[in-house]
Amino acid sequence: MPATRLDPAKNASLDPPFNELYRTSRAAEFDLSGERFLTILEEIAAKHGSSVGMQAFCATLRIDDLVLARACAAGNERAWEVFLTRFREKLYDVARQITREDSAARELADTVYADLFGTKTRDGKRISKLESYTGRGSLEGWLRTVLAQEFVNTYRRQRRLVSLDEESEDGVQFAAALPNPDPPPGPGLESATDEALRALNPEERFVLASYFLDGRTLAEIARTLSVHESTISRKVEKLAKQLRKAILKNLSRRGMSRRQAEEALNVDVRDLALDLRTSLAQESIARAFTEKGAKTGERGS
Amino acid sequence: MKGEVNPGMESVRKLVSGRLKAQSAGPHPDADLLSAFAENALPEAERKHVLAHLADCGGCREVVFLLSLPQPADEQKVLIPRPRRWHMSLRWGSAVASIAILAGVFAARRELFRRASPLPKSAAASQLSSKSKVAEEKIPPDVDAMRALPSQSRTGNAPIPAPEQVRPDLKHMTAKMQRTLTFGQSDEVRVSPASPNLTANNGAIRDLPQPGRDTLDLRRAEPAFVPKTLTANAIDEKDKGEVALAPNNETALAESGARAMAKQAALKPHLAGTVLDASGAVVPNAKVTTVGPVGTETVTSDAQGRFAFDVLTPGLYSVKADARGFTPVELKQVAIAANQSPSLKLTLAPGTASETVEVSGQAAALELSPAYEISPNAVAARRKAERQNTANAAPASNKVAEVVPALQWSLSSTGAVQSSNDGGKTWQMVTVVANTSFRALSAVGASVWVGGSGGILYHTLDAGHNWTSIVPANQGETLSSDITRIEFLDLRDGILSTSSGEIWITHDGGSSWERN
Repeated sequence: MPATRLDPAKNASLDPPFNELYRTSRAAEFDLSGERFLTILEEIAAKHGSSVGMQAFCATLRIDDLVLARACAAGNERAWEVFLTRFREKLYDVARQITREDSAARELADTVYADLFGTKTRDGKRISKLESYTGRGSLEGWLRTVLAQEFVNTYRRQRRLVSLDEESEDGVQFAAALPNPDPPPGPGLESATDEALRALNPEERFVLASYFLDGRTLAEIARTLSVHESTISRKVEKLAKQLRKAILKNLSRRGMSRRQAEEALNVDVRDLALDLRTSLAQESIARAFTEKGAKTGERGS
Repeated sequence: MKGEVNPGMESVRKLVSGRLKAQSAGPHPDADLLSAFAENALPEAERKHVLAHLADCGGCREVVFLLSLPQPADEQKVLIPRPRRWHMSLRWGSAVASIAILAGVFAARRELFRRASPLPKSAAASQLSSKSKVAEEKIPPDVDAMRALPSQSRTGNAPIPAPEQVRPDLKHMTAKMQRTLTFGQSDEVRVSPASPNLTANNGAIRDLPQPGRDTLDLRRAEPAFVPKTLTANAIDEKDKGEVALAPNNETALAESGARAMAKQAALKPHLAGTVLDASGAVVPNAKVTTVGPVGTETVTSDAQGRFAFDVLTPGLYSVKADARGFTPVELKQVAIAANQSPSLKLTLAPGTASETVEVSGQAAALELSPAYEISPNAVAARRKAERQNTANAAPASNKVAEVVPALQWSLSSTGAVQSSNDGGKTWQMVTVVANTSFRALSAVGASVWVGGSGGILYHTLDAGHNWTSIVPANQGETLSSDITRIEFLDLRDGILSTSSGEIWITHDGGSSWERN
């Protein structure tokens, strides 16, 4: 029995630090050989192109979670037992949290389970989704992400189907909205905006997209970036001013006078009242601010 | 509000939304990167990379926002130490009580001394001094007391120790004493009164109104050693009737404070004993050191040769006594279980050479070499010779696992318990109970838990030499379904999961359980 658990000959080839990692992880318990363990680590290091050196990189990984996931992917029964005791309930809980509905949660969790267990086969070998876990974040966080991704994909498919149905039923109403798109901004304005956006850093663009495009609340954005809500609030205001200034500057560089540039920018504003879609979007913005106001009020009391 | 009326912002919003929508995102980051991003675990460069994708990809943004949903409270249930606010207040309370006692004792004593009249009080006082017979010294009792105080503080201990006593939560009262999480009390001096006083003491405590379990524990408590703080000297006097005869308000307060302290002290498991020389005479001022799971603690034996430690963590302790002119003596691997308060007699032989004595035996009463006695309560564990050697070589440490070389534990595929002492090269079968297979195992140092079908659960504190069957119970319900997972974070805090989805949690090494 000891021999099958751990092959000292294979293990001997491991460098001391990796040997230590191997020993402290539960790899031996899950029948994961030292050789395989090292291969996994090397693959991950290669994939994420670490510049800090293998050992330092490995120190940032969740080795225990990684070992458990890979042992499960390899079909080790003991590992599955550990995995299920740790995550079975949790997966359903998270699914319920994401879908906010019981039967949908079951469905979502079951789909993900099938993926984790590996219903697809490649070259006659079962492929488990757990094989793609690399230990960058916690296994629990990864599972949460997989659930969220699956949900977003399914939800999008369903939404597409629903909107098609609705379109066939109330075609006129929806068809009416379509021929009235945003008045196309002039090509000069477009490129000036692109240029201004490119000058921003990724985080700023993320904030803008979440706030303007998705209508996320300041609180949601703040939570995602692990900063305070007020930071995001200030950032959004600052970014809007900054962008406006940058766009005007870019326009005038393209040969527009200051007045022309301002007019080009404000044309859209005058069209606002006529544009149904924009006004709907405006409501969502207003809601975002009201929510913020409500929250501030709560805090104050 | 601002956003609604700011036309500049609105035009920018519209333009920007349109342009952002028009961006095409590259390949989606995998779940790994997204989860690491949500957990704030990515290096800055990679984080920027992910953010750049997120700015352009609505789908991935949606995923990230789902990940940062506030987690419901029940998902964050982890084993954490209980809040300690009341604990702090208790600490302050006992500090105040100590001061009140001191004040009371001094006030009473001083008055006695000044008057020196044949009042009942002083009669009692002289009775006391004749009773205590401390070396037959012709010193007034309060001078004696005053002298005793500085001499104790000179030994490096706090003059007014504030005992950190923790009462178990009411909801845990169905099981045994709650172990506390108070560490590092090496400053505390505890002296143990002689047995007769103690009996009286216990009697007094018994009369106090106490909720459920505590009372039972106290009744069962051996009248052997109840550690008290120095300032609890008042108890001695009370036992001898003096305080009762001087019922002014101050002393009454002091008395109740001392009682409360003694009560709390009695709730704590502890390790106490007496230091004797070869002739059986007590050795005062001997340095007694314990090395256990939570570190090293040193106290000095009192005038009657007595010493006491709080044992907050079950485990293996080594106890060493040292006094000038004697050979130091060391008891190795005294195992202290959750509900035991062993008392030891440490006998010092004349001379200066160091001597280490290995105590071995079972849980039953021990017949050791004549010089060493261990009460039936003390469980001493036998160790293999090679492990002992390593243990001796190891410096004083605060982990059982380091005192004893790390054993690895595992379950075989057939459910048998096995251990390895060579880093997993070879495995030895460990027999817990014949013909039983297990499904879950957890080991912290020498404390190992195994569980399996039908709720069977065994625990060893001595690396597998003695196993105890544990039946987790809470409010009349016992664990009877299959145990599929055991996880102990340390010697006290552990969690069991069963195949039926039950979760059982202990915070005191298995003495009491909560069921979720």
